[in-house]
Amino acid sequence: MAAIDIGSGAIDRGAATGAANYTRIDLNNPADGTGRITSCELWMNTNGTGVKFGTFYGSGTDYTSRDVETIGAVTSGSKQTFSGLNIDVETGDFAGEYEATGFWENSLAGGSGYYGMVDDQFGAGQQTYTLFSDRLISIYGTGTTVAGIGAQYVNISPFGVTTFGSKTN
Amino acid sequence: MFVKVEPSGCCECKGMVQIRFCMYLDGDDYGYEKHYVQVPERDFTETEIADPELAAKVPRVWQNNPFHNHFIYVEPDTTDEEIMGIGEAYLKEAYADWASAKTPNPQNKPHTPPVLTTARLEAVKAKVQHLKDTVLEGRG
Repeated sequence: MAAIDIGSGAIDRGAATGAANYTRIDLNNPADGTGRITSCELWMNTNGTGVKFGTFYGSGTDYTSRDVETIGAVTSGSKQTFSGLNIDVETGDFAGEYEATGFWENSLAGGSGYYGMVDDQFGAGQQTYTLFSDRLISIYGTGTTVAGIGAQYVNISPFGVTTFGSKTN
Repeated sequence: MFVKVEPSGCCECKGMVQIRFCMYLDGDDYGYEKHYVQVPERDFTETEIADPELAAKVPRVWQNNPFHNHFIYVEPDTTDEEIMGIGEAYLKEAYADWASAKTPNPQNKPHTPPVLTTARLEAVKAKVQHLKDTVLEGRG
């Protein structure tokens, strides 16, 4: 297994995204492996609701979502970390997010930019997006190159505590 | 420290009940000040978005954010007691990493996704709705 990462990085940046109910595809740091994204880090500028995090593929202005997980409400003001995810990713994919409400920590320069479109585009098929050049957005994912994409990772614990923390092969 | 099921992060996911645990620190826990922060009390207006100096004048409120969040995926007949037992165990594991200045990253065990029949989907949705309607909390 090798480590995969994707996205700009979740840090406290100098600006905020100016619109909500928006899907953004982060062109910074595309995925460097094929496997699963199992954790993500998000940093919002104002409290968010209806947040989703996932992966997109495509080129030019046309992108398609590959996989997504519903995150829910995300508090602002500090980096929020999430584990236990199971998001399919392939080499070259881009991190993506959607929020119903709330703004993200955002840098206006120094990056590769992101593509954006109003409304939730996860599961919407190929869409044509608008480029916001040079920007970075505080989203980030990590995972591993694992065979058998799509295998579900669950905890089945009929009576409370079983052994936790063991990784799969 | 304490853990809560976050209803907005609970849903049907690949035939399983997705549950999100939000893990919080108490005032005397390690690193409490890292996630007890001041945030704008409301969303910015368009004018404030365009003018950071104006945005800085929006009143702030104190907010205790989770120090970590973890997702699990369980069968629809998993009881609330079982769910919170799992949550409290993950809370202890995550806090051990947090208190060692590591980013918590607990892992789930593998499981083959179930066949999603209509009956199963209804059972999963019913459990998800129950989780959205119920306050589930535990302590570490």
